[in-house]
Amino acid sequence: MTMNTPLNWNIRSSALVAVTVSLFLAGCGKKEADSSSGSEGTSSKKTVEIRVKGSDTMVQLATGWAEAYRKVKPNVFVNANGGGTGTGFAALQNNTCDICDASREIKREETEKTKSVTGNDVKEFVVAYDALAVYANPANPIKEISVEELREIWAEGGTITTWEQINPAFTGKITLFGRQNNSGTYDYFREHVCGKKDGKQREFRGGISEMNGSSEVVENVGKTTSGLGYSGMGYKTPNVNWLKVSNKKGEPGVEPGAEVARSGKYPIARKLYLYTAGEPIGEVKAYIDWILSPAGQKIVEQEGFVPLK
Amino acid sequence: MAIPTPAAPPANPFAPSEFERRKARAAARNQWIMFFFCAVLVVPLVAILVDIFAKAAPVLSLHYLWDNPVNKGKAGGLWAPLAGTFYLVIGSLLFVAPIGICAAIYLNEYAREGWLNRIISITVTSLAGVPSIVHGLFGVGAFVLVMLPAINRVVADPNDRTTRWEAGLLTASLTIAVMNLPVVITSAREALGAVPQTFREACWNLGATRWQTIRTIVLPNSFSGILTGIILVVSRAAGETAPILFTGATYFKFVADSGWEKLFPYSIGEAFMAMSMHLYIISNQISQMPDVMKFGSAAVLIGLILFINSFAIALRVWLRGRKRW
Amino acid sequence: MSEPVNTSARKKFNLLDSIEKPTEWFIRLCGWSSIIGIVAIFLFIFKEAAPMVPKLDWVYFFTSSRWIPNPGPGNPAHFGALALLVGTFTTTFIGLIIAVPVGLGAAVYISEFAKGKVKETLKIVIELLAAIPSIVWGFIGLMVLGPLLKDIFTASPGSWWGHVMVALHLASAETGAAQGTNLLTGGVILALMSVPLIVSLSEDALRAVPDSFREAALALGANPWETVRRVLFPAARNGLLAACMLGMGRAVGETMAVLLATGHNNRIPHALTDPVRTLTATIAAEMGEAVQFGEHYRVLFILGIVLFVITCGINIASDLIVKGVKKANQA
Repeated sequence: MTMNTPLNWNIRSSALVAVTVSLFLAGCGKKEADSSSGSEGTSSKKTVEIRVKGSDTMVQLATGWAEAYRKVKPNVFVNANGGGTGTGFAALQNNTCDICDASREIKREETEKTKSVTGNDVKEFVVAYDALAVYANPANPIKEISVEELREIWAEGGTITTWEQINPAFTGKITLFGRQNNSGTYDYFREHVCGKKDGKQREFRGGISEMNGSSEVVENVGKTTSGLGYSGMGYKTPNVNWLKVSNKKGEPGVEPGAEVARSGKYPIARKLYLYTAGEPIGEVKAYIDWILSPAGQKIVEQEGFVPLK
Repeated sequence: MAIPTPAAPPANPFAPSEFERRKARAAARNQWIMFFFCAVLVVPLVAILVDIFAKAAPVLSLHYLWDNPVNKGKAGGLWAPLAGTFYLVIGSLLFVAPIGICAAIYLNEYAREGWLNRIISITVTSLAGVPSIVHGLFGVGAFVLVMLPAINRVVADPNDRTTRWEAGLLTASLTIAVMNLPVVITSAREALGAVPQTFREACWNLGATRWQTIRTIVLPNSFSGILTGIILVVSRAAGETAPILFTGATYFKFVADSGWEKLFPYSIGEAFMAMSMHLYIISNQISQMPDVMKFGSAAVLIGLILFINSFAIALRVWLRGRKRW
Repeated sequence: MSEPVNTSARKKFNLLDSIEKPTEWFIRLCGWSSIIGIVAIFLFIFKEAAPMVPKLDWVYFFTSSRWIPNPGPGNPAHFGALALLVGTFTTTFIGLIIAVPVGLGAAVYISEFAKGKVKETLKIVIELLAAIPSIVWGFIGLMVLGPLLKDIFTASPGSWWGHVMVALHLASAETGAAQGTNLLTGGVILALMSVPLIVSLSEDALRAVPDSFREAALALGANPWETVRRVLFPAARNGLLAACMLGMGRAVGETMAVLLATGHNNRIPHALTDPVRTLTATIAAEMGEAVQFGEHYRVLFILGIVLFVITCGINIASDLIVKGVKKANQA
């Protein structure tokens, strides 16, 4: 009967409340430490957070930069997230990110919307090149393909659905792996491969598996003998082959690589961008400068993309 | 003289006929089929779990639990997601336990019969059946889009972006709390209902008010059942992914590697890492993620959930043995 | 002569008693919490979806499988959710085909035939099965079950197994299943997830049948299996049906498991091993990508409403069915 007297109950419950409140205050305390530093603070002792959002193609590159930059400036925390190029632009507009990664150029309506919402012009930085590789399974003997054939494979109403239509050496239905529909890679591939019909952009055909992320495409192609997919050239693994791409059927194909991506000889090469709303200042400017410097470009090369020089 | 041969024994009138023997064979066969169904359920599952733990074995160690993920999770440990899950569970418990227990008290003590009880029972069942992604959508619509701006108007300085609260521990805890509310209400209700009515009547006869009865007799005696319900909620909160996908969990966030900040890495208004989100992302969205890390993460999550649930079951069995009525 | 004794003892001040009134108000408020919760869920989701509701072509939504939320420049967006609805229902159907017999069988075994330690162990195992989180089930589907099923359903070109598979609609191509993450894997995982729920609810339903039924059947000479088949199943029919419906509700609403295990392919499946996509997986996969407050975003909330209506309907139906049981057993 000593358990439930009012005095013991009071002591126990107030002790519990005190412990809980102190735990939460400890958590809140860290927030105040962060909030005492501004993002433009020149004093390098306070912690600064830079938020980067956008392209899934670039998310591994962005995390590579973030981790390397921690060693350069230990007080700067760069949070890199994916979500697709389109979400990155939206985040730039409603000020939930400082830098937007983009695997395609900004559209005109996005530029206008950013200017009208934030009052600032977008600043564009080209930070790397990427060749969009077309991946196939190692069991597939076909090693070359042309953009014409790719158009008929991927676009709506296209005529090629089986491997024998490309090359009788391999048979079976083509299993297509693409990206999710808000991806910059999806947009870029659609624009440059599916082409136009009657003046309107052709959409992708139905029945393409929409993978959430560049590496998922590659992994799935590696596991599927009849698979075909597109992804950044930095995502190649030993489990897949990439095809040489030519513009027209019969022309010699070009393998994805650094030089051909920069020079444009590879038919599906693109630039990777960083966008900010307004001219970047302070720590954000320092970070972008570091990315464009040889140290940052070395990370670009390590991640499998094409550095600017 | 011929030795008399014993006569054949008389036929047994109680021996089963052919019909009955056929029925008995069919019954035995069906019983084995039912047992086979149980085996089909249990054996593959145990095999799968053993497979996962075997494939995760190279990575599992105490360091794995104490280090932070390195190189986008391809190496290192699981501390940051584990800490995030821990705080998420505590946060959601803080919201769901008082409300759920009080709702059960209301249903069981104050509004025992009647149309209100019926309606609340239906809504509890409906709430339990809502898909987890719909809870996630609700979390976005209610907490991230309505509650956070309201909080930010009070708390944040419009010129200093770092004082803004974002989708993080608070919104995710609230979303998980709403998701777990029916479980707490149901188990608390059963626990309260198990207290015999005679206890309450004795209290009333002594002149106690309803609240006094509840806090001195009913609640302490149903404490074990309520505790079991709370522990089940803990395991659900630790394992769910869909509700926290858009209400605050993130895959990649720097967490201090040592010191005081390692134990309290997240604050209320910041995104946090969580075990379930971590497993989801490394399953197929990181290039060249070693398989052993994927299995390691899955093994740690399964181990955590099974440990919590086994603890709940053991607690329930022990407390049931101690019951004195 | 003694003075009159002062009998009015002053009541000792008790903190916990003095908060009775506010506490009772708090308790009353919490009692309404689940009603507030469910109404709030519907309201907030509807609030986000509302601007798109009049603009969406609902006929196209339910009849077309063309889902193009981010069209090329100059093209209109298309929201045809037929493939998603078919994906949800086919995975649920396959899950239930496996889960209902196994679940009912296991429930009957545990409730009627298992004794003592075996029964306790089985019940604990089922409870632990129910506790495994859905992301782990998805992981199992992706990494363990998927490759296994892909191996089973693979055939070398021209072999007889390939022809049999195409004939039975087990695979679309003569070479067998292209991917391990497909409709069948998703269905099996959903079955493994719903079975514990069906088992525990069916067991409750069977236990609720009064013992007098069993004793009467035994007295008439039935063996235990006949008792189950001819007496208990009809008596517990409503409870068992409600259990299966709740299992179905769980399967319809499952997100992470199907997200990882079914492959992300938005089309109507022609064979058991075709990849599909469900409503829940679409919301989870595309929500992170949708531009906030855009059309795509609002249509995802509309998908949420569709899901909510379906699962609420299933739950209310099963609740009404069980209510019939209570009335019948009181009669």
